[in-house]
Amino acid sequence: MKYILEMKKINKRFGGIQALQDVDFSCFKGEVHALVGENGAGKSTLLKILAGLYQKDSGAISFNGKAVEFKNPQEAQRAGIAMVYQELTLFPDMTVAENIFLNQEPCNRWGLINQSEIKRRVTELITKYNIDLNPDDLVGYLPIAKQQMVEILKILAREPELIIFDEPTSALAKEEVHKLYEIINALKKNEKTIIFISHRFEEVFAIADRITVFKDGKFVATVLTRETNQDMLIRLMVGRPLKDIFPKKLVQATKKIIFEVKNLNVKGKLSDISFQIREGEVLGIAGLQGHGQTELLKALAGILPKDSGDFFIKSKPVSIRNPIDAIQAGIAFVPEDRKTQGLLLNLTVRENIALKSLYLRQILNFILLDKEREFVNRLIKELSIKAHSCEQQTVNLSGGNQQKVVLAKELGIKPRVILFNEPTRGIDVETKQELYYLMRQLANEGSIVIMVSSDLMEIIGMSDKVLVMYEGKISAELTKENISEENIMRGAVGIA
Amino acid sequence: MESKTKNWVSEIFPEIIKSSLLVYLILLLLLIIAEIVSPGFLSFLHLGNVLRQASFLGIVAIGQTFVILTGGIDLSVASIITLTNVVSAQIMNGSNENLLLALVTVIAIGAVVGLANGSGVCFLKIPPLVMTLGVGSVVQGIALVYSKGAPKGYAAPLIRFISNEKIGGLISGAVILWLILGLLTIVVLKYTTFGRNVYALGTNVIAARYAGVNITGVTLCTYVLAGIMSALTGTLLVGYTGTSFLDAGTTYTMNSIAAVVVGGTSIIGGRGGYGGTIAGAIIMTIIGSLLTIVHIPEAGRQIAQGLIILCLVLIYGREKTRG
Repeated sequence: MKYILEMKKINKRFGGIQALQDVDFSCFKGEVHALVGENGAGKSTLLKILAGLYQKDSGAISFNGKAVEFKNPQEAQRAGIAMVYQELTLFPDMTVAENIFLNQEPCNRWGLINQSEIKRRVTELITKYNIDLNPDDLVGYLPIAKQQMVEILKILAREPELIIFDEPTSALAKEEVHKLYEIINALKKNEKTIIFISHRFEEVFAIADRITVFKDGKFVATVLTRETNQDMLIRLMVGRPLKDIFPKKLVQATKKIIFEVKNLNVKGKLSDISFQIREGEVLGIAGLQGHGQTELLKALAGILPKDSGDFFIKSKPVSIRNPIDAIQAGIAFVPEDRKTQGLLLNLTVRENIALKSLYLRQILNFILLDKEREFVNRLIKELSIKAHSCEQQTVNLSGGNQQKVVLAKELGIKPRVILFNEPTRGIDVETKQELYYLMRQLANEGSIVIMVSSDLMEIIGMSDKVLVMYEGKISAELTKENISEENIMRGAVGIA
Repeated sequence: MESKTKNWVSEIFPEIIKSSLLVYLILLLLLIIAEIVSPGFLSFLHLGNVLRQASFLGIVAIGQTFVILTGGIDLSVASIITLTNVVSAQIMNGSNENLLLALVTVIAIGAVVGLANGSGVCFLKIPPLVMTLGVGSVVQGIALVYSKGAPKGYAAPLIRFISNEKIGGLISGAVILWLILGLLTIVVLKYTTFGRNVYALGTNVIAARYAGVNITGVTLCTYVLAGIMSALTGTLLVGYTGTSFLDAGTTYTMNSIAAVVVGGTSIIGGRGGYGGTIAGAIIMTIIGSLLTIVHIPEAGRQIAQGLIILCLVLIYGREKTRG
C-alpha cells in the first residue's frame, strides 16, 4: 500500500504558543484514520492546515504523490480534500438540496440554476448512502443530527478523495452515530480516505483502521487499531512531568463540609450532579470539551437556570435563580472568556474592578468615588496587577493582567465561593503561577474554590479533589493519589 | 460631604471639556463660520435665540443619550413630543391653573410610552429600532385621534414665559431648565451606580449580566427617561409657539440622534456622555439656523444638514480610532 497523504515536519505557532512542532503524519489510500489526544494537543490545527484553513509555518505536504500547498479551503477542495466542520455551516432558510449544491449549482444553457437537476442528484446521493432526508425540507427545521447529515452530504457531493471529520459524532444520537459508521464504511468501499478526530474511544475502536496519538503539539505514535487497547492509548495520550509551579496541596482535609450540591439537573445539559467540598479543598472539574463542565459552573452562578437541585453553603441552603441571587449568596464567577464575558474592554481598570461590588460603596445610588479608588488601588496592589494607573483602559493590558482584573472584580463582593472557568487560558506561565498561589490562598482562608479546566496538568497540580464529567454526568470522583492523568482520561472518555 | 461637593464641581466642568474637546472645537469653528457668513450671528440677541432653540433639542437628547449609551435607540421621541404637545395645549387651554395638571399628564404619557418601548425591548426581545419605530407610529396615530386632526388649546402664560422670555436678554427659562437637567444627567452618568450600569450594559451585555447588573431595570429606566424628556419638550414647545401642531416633534428624532452622535457618543453604546451631546445639540441648531439665514431652500437645507452630520461623525470617528 502506498501513502496518499504525507505531512512532514509541520510547524505552526499561534502568537507565543507552539501549536505544532515537527509533526509527521501520513495516511494510506482507503483507510480510516483516527486522531486522538487531549484538548490542545494539536489535532484540529494539523487537519485545518491540511484543509487549507490555516497556513503552516514550515514543513511539507504531499498528496497523491505531488507536493501541495493550499492557501484556502477552496484550493484544498479542488485537489480532493474536504473537511466536515464541527460547527454547522448551513443556511437554515434554504432547502436540503439548495444547501448541498450551494455555489456549485448545475446550470442550464441560459445560466439559470437547474432545480430539477439539483434534486435528481441530491436524491441520488441520499439513496446511495441510504440517509433519511427529504431534499425539499428547509434545513432550519431539521434536528441537529439531520443537519449534520446534510453537512456531510454537502461534502460528499463534491466527490473528494480524502474526507476529514472533526468530532463528527459530537452532535449525534446513538442511532445516527451508527448511520455515520455505515456512511464511513460505504466511503471506504469506494476507496476514499477518511481522517477523523475523536474524543470517544468507542467510535475510534469501532471504525478506525489506524490511530495516531498527539500530545502537546507533537506526534507521539501511530498504531494499528487491532494491535492496541484503551489502556495503551491512554498511556500514550498522557504521561508528562508536573513542573513545580503549583503551591502545596492540603495535607489533610478536615471533616467539615462547607459546600454541597445535591441532585442538580438542567435538562439536556446536566443530570443528577451531587458533590461535597470540605474546608480548604480546591475542587477541580475535568473532562473533554463540551461535557457539561461550563454548564455546571453557570448553574452554580445563577446564569443557567436549573430544573432541580439544591446548594448548601456551610449546611445552609441557598436559593440561586439568577446572577444577582448568586452575588448575594457570595458566589463569584470567573468566566472562561475574559474578553467577551468578563471585561468591559473600553472602560478603565477602575470601572471594571468596581462594577460587581458597586452596591458596597454607594449612598442613595451615588458612588463614593474616594472609597472606590481606595478599594480598586488596594486590589491592584494585592493582586499585583500591572497597569499604569487605575484609569488605564483594560483593553491595553496583557492577557494575564486582564485576567487578574476579572478576578479582582469578583473578589470585590467578598465571595464565599469562587468559580473559575479555564482560569489560565492564554496567559503566561508566571501569571499562571501567581494565580495558582492566589487560588490556594483563597482556599486556605476559607473560601470555596471550584475550578473547571481542560488543562490536565493544572487540574492535577491544583486539585485536592477532582470530578470528571462525561455527557453531563459525573463519571469519576478522584482524591489524593487517585488523581492521575490515566484516571481522569478514563472518566473523560466514559470508561471509568 | 463638603469636600465631596467641591470634588464634583471641580471635576464636572473639566470633564465636559476634556471628554469632548473635539466637538467643542467644532462648535467654536462653526460659530466663527456663522459670524463670517452672517455678520451679527454672534450677537447676544441671536445667540440667545440659538440657545433657546437648542434647549428643546438638548432636553430630548438627554433621553436619547441614555438610550444610545445602553446600546439602544429611540425613534419614537418625535411622536411623543407631538402627542404631549397636543395634549398639554388642550389641557392648559391658556390658563396657568391648568399647567400643573398638564405637566403631570404629559409626564405620565411619556413614562407610559417609554415603558412600552422598554418592555418590548426587554421582554419581547424586539430590536429597539423596530420597537420604537412601531410605538412611535402608534403614538403619532393617537395624537391624530386625540386632536381629531385639528389641535385645540393654547399655551398658559407661565409656560409661554419659560419657553420664550429671555432673562437678561440671553437666557430663557427653558435654557435654565436644560442646564439643570443637563448637569443632573452628567452627574447621574458619572457618579451613580445607575450611570455606571448604563455604560456596562452598552459595553458588554454578557459581562454586565454576569456582574449582577439588572439589565431589565436599567433598560426600562432609560426608555422611560427618554419618554419623560420628550414629554417635557413637547410641553415647552407649546410655550414657544403659543399653540400646538401635529408635526411639532417631527424633526426631533433625527436631530436628537444626530446631536448625540455628533457629540461623540458611540452609536453602538458604551462610550461617550452628555457633555458632548450639549455641544451636539447646539451644533445641530446652529446648522439649521445658519442654513435658513443664507436662504437655502428646504430641500437644499436637508441635503446640506445630512452631509454636515456625516462629515462631523467622520472627523470624530477618525480621531477616536487614532486615540
